[in-house]
Amino acid sequence: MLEVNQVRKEYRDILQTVTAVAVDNLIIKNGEQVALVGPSGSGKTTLLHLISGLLTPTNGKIKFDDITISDMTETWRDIWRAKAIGYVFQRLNLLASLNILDNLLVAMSFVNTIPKKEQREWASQLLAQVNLSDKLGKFPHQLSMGEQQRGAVARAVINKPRIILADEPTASLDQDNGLLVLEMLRKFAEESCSILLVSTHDRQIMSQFERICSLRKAEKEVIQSATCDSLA
Amino acid sequence: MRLAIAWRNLLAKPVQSGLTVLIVAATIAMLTLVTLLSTGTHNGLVRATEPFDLIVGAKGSPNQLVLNTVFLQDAPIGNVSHEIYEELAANPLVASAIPLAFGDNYKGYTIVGSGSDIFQHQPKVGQGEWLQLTAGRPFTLPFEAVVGAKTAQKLGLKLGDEFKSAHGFIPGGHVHDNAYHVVGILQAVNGPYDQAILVPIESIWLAHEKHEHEAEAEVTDDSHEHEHDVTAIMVKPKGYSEAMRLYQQFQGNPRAQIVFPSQVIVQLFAILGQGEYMLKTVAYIIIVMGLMIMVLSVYWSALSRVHDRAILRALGASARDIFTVILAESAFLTILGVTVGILTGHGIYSLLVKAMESKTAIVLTAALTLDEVYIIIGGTLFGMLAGLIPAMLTYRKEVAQYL
Repeated sequence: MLEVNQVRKEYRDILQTVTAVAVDNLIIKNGEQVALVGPSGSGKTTLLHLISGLLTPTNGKIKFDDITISDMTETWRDIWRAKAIGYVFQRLNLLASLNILDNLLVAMSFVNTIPKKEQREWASQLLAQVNLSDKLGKFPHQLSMGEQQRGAVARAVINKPRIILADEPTASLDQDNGLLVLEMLRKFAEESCSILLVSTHDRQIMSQFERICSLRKAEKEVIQSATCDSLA
Repeated sequence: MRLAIAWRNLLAKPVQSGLTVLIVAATIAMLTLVTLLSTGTHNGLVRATEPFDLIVGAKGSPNQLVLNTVFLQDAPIGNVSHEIYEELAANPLVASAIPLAFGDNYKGYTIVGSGSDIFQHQPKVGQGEWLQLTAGRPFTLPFEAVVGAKTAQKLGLKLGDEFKSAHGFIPGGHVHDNAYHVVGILQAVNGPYDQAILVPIESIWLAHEKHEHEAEAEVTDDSHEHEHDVTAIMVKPKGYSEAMRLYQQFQGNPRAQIVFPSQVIVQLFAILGQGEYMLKTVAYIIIVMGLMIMVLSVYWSALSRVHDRAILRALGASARDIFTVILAESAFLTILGVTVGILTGHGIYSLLVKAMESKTAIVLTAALTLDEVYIIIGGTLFGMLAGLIPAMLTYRKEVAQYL
C-alpha cells in the first residue's frame, strides 16, 4: 500500500517560496489503478518524482508497505527506484544511443530481479508482447512515437515493479496509440498486482479508471497548494 | 553495462567524439614526436661516436673534425703528416691507432681509406669487432674495397663488382683511373659507416699521387710533401688515465689536435637541447589547450545528455553510476586519442628517420622509449582526470527537472 501523508515539496529562492505540490493524504492499495489529474502546474509530475524517490519532500512522509521512502538515503532511494518503480514519461523516454533491446537491458542492469542469463530472453519476450519483436535492434530515432512509447512501457515493467508511474504517457500519441499504450500498462499492472498511477488530463484516458485523484492548484500564485481527492 | 552506455554515447555523437579524439591524438603525437626525435638523435649520435675514443686530426674546429671523421659529413679540415700516426702507433699510452684518409667518393658515398687493422678494432673489450663482414673478406691489396651495408644496398654493389672513385665529396668530380674491386660487404653497424666504402689507405695515396701528377702539368705545386698524409687517426688509449695523459700531450702541439668525440657531442646536445626545449614547450602548451578542449568537450557532451542521464536516474542508476559513465566516456576518448597519437607520432617519426638517415647518416632509434611509456600513462591519466571535472560538476545536478 502506498501512503502519501501531509507531503509538501517547496522550492526556495531569495525572494519567495514556491510550493510545487501539497498532498494531505493519498492512499493507494496494492493492485489499484489510479488516474492523477489536475491542471498544469498542479504538481502531478512532482508527486510522481516524490513517490519514485527522485525528489524528497520538504515535509511529510511517503510510505510503501513498511518502507518510508521519504526517510531513505539517496543510495537506498536509487535501489528502491530500480527495484520497485517502473516509470513511463510523456516523450523522449528511451536512451537515444541504445537500441530498444539495450534500453531494456540497461534497466535490468541496476537491479538483480531477473537472473543475468535470462535477461535478454525476458526483454525479448516483453518486446514481443508490445508488438516490437521485429524492432529489437532499432534505435529510438528509427521508431515511430507509438513504437517508442510501447518500448518505454516494456522497459517500465521489465523489473516487475510494485509501482508503475506514468507521466502523461499518451500526451504525444494519437488516440489509438494512446489507448493501446494505456491498455498495455493496465494489463501489466493487473498481471503483477502492481499499483498503476497515471497522470493525465485526457478525459478519455481518465474514463478508463475507476479511481481518479485530483490535484488542485492553489488560488495564490506564489504559494501553490494542491489536495488529492478520491472522486470515485 | 555502464561501459557499454559510455561507448554507445560516444558513437551516438561521432563528430563531437571524433574531434575530441583528434585533439588528444594531435597533442600526444606532437609530444611523442618530440620525445622520439630527442631520444633517437641522442642515441644515434652517441652510438655513432662509440667506436671513436679519441680522434687526432689537423688543427681547426673540433666539431668539423668529428663531423667529418665520425659522421662522414662536412669537408676535412686538412691532413696531418704520417709521422704523427707513426708516433701515435708507437706511443705506449695507445692500444691502437688507425689512420683514416678521406677525399674521394663513389656516387656520393664516402670512400674511407684505412689500414686493414680497422677490421680488428673493438670499441669495447669483449663486445666484438666494430666492423664485421656479412660476405667476402677484408681488403688486403690496394684497390680492393669493403662496402658498408647501406652503400651495398643502395648502390646494388656485390662481391666482384668494380667501380671507379671520383675526387671530392660530392658526385661529379674527377674520376680516378684505377677501378676498385669489391671483396667484402659489411654488416650493418647502425651508424654513418653503413654508408661508407672502406679501402686500403694506400689506394687513396696512389689515386691522388696520379691525380696530383696530372695536376702538376698544369700548375706548379709541391704536392709530393702531402702524398702520405692522413686525414684523421682513430686512437684507442689503453685506459682512461692514458687517454687523459695523451690528451695532455697533445695540448700545445702545433701540428695536430686531439679530441674526445663524446665531449664534442655533449656540446652538440646543448645546442640541440635549446631547440628541443622550444619544441617541448610548444608541445606542453598544446597539451594544456588540448586537455582544456577535451574537458569542455566532455562537459558539453555530459550537459547535452542530461535528459538521458535523467532517464537513467529514473531507471535506478545512482549518481555514482552516472559519474562512472561520464568518466568512462572521457577514458575512452583519451585512450583512443593516446593510441592514435602514439601511432601517428611513430608514423611521422619513421618518415623523418628515413629522411634524416639519407641526409645525415645518423641512424635514429625507433624503439618504444621510457619517456613514451610516461606519455602513454600520463596522457591517459591526465585525460581521465580531465574527465573528472565534468563528472564532478554534474554529479549532484538535480535531474528530475529534465524528465
